[in-house]
Amino acid sequence: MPNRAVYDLGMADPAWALSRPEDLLMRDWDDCGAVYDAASGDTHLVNALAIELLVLLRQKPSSEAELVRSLIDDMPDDTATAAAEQIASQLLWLQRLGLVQPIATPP
Amino acid sequence: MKLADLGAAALHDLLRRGTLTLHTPPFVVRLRSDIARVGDDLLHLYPNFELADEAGFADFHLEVNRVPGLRRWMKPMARFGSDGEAAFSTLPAEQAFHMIEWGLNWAVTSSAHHFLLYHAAVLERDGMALMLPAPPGSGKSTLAAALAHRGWRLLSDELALYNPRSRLVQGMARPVNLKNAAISLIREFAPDAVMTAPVPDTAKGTLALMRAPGDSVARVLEPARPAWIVMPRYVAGSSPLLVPMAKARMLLLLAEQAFNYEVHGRDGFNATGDLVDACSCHEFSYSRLDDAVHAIDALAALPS
Repeated sequence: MPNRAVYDLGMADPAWALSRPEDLLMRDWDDCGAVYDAASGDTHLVNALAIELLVLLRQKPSSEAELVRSLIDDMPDDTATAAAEQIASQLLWLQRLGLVQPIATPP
Repeated sequence: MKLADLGAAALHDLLRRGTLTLHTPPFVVRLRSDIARVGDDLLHLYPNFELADEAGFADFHLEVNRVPGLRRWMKPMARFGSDGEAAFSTLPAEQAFHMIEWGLNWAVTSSAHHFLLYHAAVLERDGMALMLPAPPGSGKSTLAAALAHRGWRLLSDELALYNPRSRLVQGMARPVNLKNAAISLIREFAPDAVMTAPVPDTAKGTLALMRAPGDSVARVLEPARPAWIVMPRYVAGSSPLLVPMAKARMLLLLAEQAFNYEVHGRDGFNATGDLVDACSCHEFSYSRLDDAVHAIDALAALPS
């Protein structure tokens, strides 16, 4: 589940979005990737899951639950639980890098 | 006309007058110095470089001169300047030629932004470039010096000039900076290597410069297409170990080791991404130069 200590918009499952889609360039290789943030000039090394999340969020803002559904569609339950935790953790890490942010969605 | 054709007397005269103009492709450098050793080392290390027009355009105007005053009789000091402005701290005069080399690197990295400038040695074989990016102290220059005496053409031991449009690396064939134990290592490995007399007690230890082998200078205008990027690391007692390195990690390493990556912004990221995409990327630890050369040769022999 989302960690409210890092974001708290008063929502149970807020949508996530790229912070500045126009500023982010990505390179994806099999094992990991790199993200360039033109706003900060920083280049980040990111794992394959982070790249998957960034690609999905570039398509459209999504809640954590939606991201989990997109990424762990056919996984067995025990694997899916661990994967969901990793997705939550990755979102927080990407948020700390300033690459993604939770956004308010209409009620 | 080559520098060696000038003769020592004329060279020293031009140097004192500040009109010695040398073509160090892709740049033209005008030099001034009142220190005789600078002229001697220049002749020793750059004999086959072409002279350029004394009155023509020069990219950089560099000088290293004695610091005046009584102290010059006790411990002669030298000051480096670029385009008429003093730069860097004064250093003992015996390091004057090294100041020219460092100053030229500084001038290139400060202004040659039509290239992406990576901190990497570059060598070439059959038109393909081997780039060796690494932090200082990793044995990069030592490995480059060794390869340059075993069939690889030296483009640079320090600055990879990558043209993001042509996607080729340009060489300068300037001398290789060797430090401390690397000096005797290369003397033993390549007895025909031409070097300056070692300068002890510098901030970096004992320093010597090795002349780029003749073929490297003769073909300095030929760029090369990057094919291999290897991050070398000298590890005492280690067998040669060459392992694949994730391309994303290599991109980060190149970005960290670049002098002007941030100047290029998005284009720098895209060009560096294209560069690692086009190359086979490896980490390499080694201790013995013979083993290291064999390992690199074996890598280059693999089908691309």
